[in-house]
Amino acid sequence: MKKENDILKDCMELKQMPYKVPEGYFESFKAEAVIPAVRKLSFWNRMAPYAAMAAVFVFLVTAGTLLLEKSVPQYQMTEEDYLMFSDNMMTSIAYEMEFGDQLADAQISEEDIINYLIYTGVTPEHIELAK
Amino acid sequence: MTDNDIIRLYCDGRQEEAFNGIVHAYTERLYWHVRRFLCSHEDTNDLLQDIFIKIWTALPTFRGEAKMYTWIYRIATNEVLNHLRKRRFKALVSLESPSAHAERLIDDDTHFDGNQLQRELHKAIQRLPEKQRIVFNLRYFDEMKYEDISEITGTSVGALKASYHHAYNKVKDDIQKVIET
Repeated sequence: MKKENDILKDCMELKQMPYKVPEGYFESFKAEAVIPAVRKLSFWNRMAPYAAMAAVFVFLVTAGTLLLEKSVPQYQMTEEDYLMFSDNMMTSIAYEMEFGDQLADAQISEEDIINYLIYTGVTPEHIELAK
Repeated sequence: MTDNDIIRLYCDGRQEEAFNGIVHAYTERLYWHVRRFLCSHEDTNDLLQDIFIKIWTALPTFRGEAKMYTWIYRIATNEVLNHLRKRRFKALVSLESPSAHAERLIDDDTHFDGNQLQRELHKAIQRLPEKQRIVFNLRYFDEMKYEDISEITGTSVGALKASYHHAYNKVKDDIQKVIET
């Protein structure tokens, strides 16, 4: 029976490594060359979980804010709201808001002030007490 | 230094000495393991450093359930596969197939010191699918047991035997064709 040729078995030199390395490569390859990179990496490895947590926190806050801004409609105040708001303020402030520009320009006489005080319900007794 | 000595050093808290031991014991073996896949010395040198960094960072997870050398080879092989994956992406851009690229590296390699037959063998290996290439390299050159290759690759012994059989025949046929022409 004819034996089949098997070049991979018969030719033992095929198992030898044909590649070469630069002279002294293995002798110069030391752990000391790798360890600085490893130390740098180890520091980052320790910090990575904290950095990841911080990143997730910032992401959640940003995403939450954006989501709230989008989902909650911006409330536009109506005229009624302004009136209600002005009811909660002191009358003088409301008056100033309403007639502020005119007040700045106008020459206010004593009579105007008295009229205003009467209009707002202030009595002479109140003024006496304030003194 | 044996694997047991390295493990003992590590357990004693002498991590750097253990790592020195690993580098000393495995540099040459891992270099050739990687070089058979990448062909180029420069790529192999870069990847070897990355492999040792991976080994250092993974060392605390080594439980001793596997043999240290299969554990180290597993890390190295995974890194090689990642590198080859990157090469495949680059090949998509450059329109040169990864095996053609590897064959060109063999032809252009100034550190290649083999004869024509060896050149054809290594080119034929580059044409194998990755899994077949791994099992072929580990079995044919390193004469590793299937059980150990199984630990490295996470593939069953039966599947490895089939892969090796296919790879062996393909490589043999490729070289035979070159001889006949």
